[in-house]
Amino acid sequence: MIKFYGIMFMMSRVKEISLIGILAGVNIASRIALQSLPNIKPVTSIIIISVMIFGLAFGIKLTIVTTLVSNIYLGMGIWTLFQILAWIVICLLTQILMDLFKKINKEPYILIMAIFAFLMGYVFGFIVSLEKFVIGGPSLFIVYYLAGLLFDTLHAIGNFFFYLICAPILMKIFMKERVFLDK
Amino acid sequence: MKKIINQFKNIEKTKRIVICFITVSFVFIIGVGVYQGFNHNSYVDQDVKENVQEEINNQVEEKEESQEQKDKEDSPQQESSTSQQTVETKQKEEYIQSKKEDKKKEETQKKQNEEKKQEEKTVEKTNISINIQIIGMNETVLSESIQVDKESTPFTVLKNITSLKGIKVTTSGFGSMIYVTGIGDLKEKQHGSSSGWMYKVNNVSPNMSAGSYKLKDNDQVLWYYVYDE
Repeated sequence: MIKFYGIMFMMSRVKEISLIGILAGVNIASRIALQSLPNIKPVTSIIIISVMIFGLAFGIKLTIVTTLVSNIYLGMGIWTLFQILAWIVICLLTQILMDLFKKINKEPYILIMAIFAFLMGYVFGFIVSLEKFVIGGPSLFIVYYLAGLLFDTLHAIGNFFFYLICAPILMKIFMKERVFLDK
Repeated sequence: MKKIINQFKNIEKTKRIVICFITVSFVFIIGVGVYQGFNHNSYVDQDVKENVQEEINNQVEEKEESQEQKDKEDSPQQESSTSQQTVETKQKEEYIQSKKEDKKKEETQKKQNEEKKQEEKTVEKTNISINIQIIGMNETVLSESIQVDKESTPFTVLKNITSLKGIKVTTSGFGSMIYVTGIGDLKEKQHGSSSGWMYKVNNVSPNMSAGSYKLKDNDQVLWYYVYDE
């Protein structure tokens, strides 16, 4: 398990496109199916896992596809730009964390990454409420952000549990496929 | 500085592009937000100036109609309270009409004396006079005019005059998002779930907190209690 980060670098384009398609499909379907539960979605956890395994560029392409297509169903507006920006910030932070783990030469424990996913829920909420900063000035931003902290805690708790569920399954699958994908 | 730039060039290509993109977008967002924070009040003032006279006419007509309806409904019930109400409503009508005429006179005078006022403002300390009126459920608590600083808000005017008269004001929030929950003994939600205090400036309700709106000379501030029954 130590050498799993950075192995999927030399993928051929066709395999990359198919992987993006499958993961984006899972993201979009889960986001639409769970839209009645407020702000609980496994999208953030899956993006964190895919950036851990496949690298930063893969994560950015994945976020753009999921955000654009799922907002066609759920409502498009100026908030899509801010959601894309928020998830790109999350991808960058996970890639920096992976480089840290590579330097220390340890493997990332599941609990540490789950707590990291919990914190990323709050980062997401902060950047998405920055939209109101552009429209109405700092007073509207503070009101919107403080009123939305409850939603952010729900998002963070959802991230925590989805990470604990998804991580072992996806890691095993991609470890098995590692030999074949490298060719 | 050179170490940071060298380190920056050694990072991989994708990370470099992403870091540049994120910093540029954050700088843009913060810049536009701060700009909006400074320019918010003047945008509202223009709308207020355009719609003032139309709203005054509409509200005077509405008040006259509602007063007629109130007289018809209340007359079979209690005569003493209706006489007081009719007296007060007539006083309000006269007050509003007199204020209208005063306003027209003031506007013509303002146009003539603009140069003099500008000279006075640059020379002396700037104090502006505000008329404030507080109307409770069936009575006017007070109706006065007061001299305040140039950069005052409806909330500071309310606070000044109630501290002079000894009336308590309870609030929640702070700064430019302040909200008045009670004046004197009347508090919000005591007479219905959507009852509380609201304010108008020159008979127009600006859609912002009482701590954000900037008052001008000879403005008319009205604090009134809204209730369901």
